[in-house]
Amino acid sequence: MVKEDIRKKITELESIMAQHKNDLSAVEVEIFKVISEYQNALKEEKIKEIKQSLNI
Amino acid sequence: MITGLEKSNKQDTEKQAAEKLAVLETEPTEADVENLIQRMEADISAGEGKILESTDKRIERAPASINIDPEKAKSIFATGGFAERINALKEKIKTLTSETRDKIKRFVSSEPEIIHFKDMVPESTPITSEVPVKEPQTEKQPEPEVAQTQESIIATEQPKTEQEIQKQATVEIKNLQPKPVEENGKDQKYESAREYTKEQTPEQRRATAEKIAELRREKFQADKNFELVITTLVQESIEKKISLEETVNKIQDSEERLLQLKDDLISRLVHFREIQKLEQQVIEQKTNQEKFDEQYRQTLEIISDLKSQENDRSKLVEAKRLLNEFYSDKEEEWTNFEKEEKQRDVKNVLGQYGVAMVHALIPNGAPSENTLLRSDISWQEKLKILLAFEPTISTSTISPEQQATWRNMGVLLSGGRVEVASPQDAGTKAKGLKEREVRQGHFSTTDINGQKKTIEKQLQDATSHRGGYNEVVVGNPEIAGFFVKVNEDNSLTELGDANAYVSPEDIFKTVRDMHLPLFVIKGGEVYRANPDEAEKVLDTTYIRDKSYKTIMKLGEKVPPAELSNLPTALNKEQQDQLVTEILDDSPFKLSMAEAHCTDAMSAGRETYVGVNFGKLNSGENFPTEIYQSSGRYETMTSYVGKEMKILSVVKSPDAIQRLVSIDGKLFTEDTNKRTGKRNLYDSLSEHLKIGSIVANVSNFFTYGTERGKETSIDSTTAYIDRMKLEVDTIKDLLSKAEKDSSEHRESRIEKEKNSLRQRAFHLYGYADEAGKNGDIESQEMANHLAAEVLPRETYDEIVKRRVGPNGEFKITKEDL
Repeated sequence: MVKEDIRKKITELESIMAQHKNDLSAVEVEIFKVISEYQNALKEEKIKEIKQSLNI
Repeated sequence: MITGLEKSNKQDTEKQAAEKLAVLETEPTEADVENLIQRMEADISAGEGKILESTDKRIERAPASINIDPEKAKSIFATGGFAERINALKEKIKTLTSETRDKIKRFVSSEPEIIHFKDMVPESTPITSEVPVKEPQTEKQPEPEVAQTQESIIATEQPKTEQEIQKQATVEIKNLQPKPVEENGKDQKYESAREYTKEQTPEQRRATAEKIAELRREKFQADKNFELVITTLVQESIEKKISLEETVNKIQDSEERLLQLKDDLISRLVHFREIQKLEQQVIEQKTNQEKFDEQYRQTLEIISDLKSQENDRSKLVEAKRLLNEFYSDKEEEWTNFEKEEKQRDVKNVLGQYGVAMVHALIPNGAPSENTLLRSDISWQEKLKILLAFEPTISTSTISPEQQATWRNMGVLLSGGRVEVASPQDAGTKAKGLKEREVRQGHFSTTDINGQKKTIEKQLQDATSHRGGYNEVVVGNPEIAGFFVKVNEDNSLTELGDANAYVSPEDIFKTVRDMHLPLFVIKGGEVYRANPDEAEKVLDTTYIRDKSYKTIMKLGEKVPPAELSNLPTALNKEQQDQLVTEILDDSPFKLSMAEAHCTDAMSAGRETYVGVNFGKLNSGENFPTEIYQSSGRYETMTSYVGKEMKILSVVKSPDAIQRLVSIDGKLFTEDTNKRTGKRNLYDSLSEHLKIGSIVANVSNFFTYGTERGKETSIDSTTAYIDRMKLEVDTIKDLLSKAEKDSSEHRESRIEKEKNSLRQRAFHLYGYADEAGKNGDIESQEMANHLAAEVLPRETYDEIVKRRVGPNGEFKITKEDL
């Protein structure tokens, strides 16, 4: 394999990896959003509990 | 937001860049590629694991961070759709990982990259070459319609501004109206109780809406206060509770420590300072505990008070009650109203009682007390007014049993609204075009028990009456045509009276000119008729109309039930045309300030001719004719045949006056524009000579003249002097009126101002006539004095607006 081919291969492999990480990152952001919504739902529930305990 | 992966990516990229640089700077080998692949594989696995693990941890930690029961959190996670979404995302990560590995494998084996069909289609498109099988979808259930009940409307979000409160109250009235019952068809006057209350009881409706708005406003203010305070207090109460719990924990810790330290003497001695400090702390903490406890308790009390205020829905309940009460009353009222409206509908009356309804016209003039019309009005003019304005009129019902009518000609009705019905002549009197009032003592709408007679009862009494004609007042009458009553032999009943006989030809001409259908009434029944088919028969016993009588040919009989189907005689366009015609030459009795002014203008012109009679020689000559004369004016028969020289023509609303000279004397020849009657009288010059207070000059030379000592007004100078005296005297009176502090002040001022204005019009009229005769000096003198009272422009504007080319006085609908 000539050096140029090797260089090209390395560059392309790196490009595949970068793309993969970007894709994963996007999904991770989605997961964060869902968890954040879940936490908010829990907070609301907690406020409900507090209000009930305060008889409001 | 920087995710963990992004952070790690950044670090990795930096590290890899350095390695890459090192590799590329040196000579890269296939081993380097192999190493890179292995490292990538490791990174891919690590990345996947890291994300999945951190996701699970975050989800797991969430309940604890919020201090919520883990079981409850689990349930929320599952039922809130979070589990489903997270799982889908996890799957996506796995897929991405697998795809990247595939790509690397293909790359390593140097296979040409297969471009998947999948990569060429948008992500949302199903990846299949087959026709996508539509997943069975549960048919979407329509959202249940939330019935907007009174409760739900009242409980909706509070309005923010005054206008919104008012608007919402109005909307409530609008929305909460009882729905019209189905059987109430479209022949109802109103579609709903809301429409009914809008028109029939606007004041009550407005008052109710205002009360409701006020109640809502009070409730809104209370709620607004509540919202503001409660939010703060809840927060405070939570904080206080936390402080309280912390303090209690601290006390417990301190006390436990104290117990340990005080366990034995040595310890007590060794830890003496610490014990002292701890004891002090416990005292302080207990004080704090009490303080927090008290504050927490107080906060709860305040919240509890506010809560009771929030629950005080009494104002809303009251608003709702008012609304219900309003509409339950109005619904009944509306139902009764609609029922009564049907009873009042002439179209229903005709069929139900088996009658025709007619409004009779007297041939000439009008009963002075009953009408708005001038006494010299002709029946044709009255007919036009009826057709044009559809005024409220008095009618009679007729049937074979009840044949009497007020007069034997008039109009036949096919519609309208019965206002009041009386078995006899109710002597009603016009109050305006659309209103008639029952004069006291003539007719009562209450029965012997003082109960108000329903319209049904009134109509029953009126239509069952036998004898003379009854009186039914009808508003917005729809007129089907003209009627005449005939005798047994179909001859026209003598129409009119001794003073004013109406010939059949007059009637036929009028109905033809106005394109009115003609009807004949015989024996209380209605027949169609055609004026062209009437037959003239010689009859020596028939004294009117040159000894022949007119026999009508009776057409098809129109039974009462069909009268309501007759079309109205004129269409809208014809009606509008008539309105314009009438307004341009008013037949109505006028007592308007501007009408008096234009009269004054005519009198001023006449006065010029009278004063300057000797100088005026121009004019055409005519032989004097026979004139009718009545009243106090002498019949001028001795002048018949003598030469008459016309000096001036003065057109007024009622008459055309020619000022003429006969045998060197000045006369006024007056032709009534409506009746055509002429009078000739010599009053003017004689009266002017002695300046007496009569006839046309009486209104304008009121002051400074003692009876018997009047001075002659025989020149413009004398006229101007006299008018100046008038003007100055009225100005004095106006000045006195302005100082009046009594309740009559305004009316006194108005009266004097009108008097002044009339003098100005008289003077301008005088000036105009002088100008017409080339008498510039007189013209200027009169104009000058007039301008002291009223600007010429105002005079010109009023004349242009009010006076037609033949002296008619123009009026508007508003004037009426």
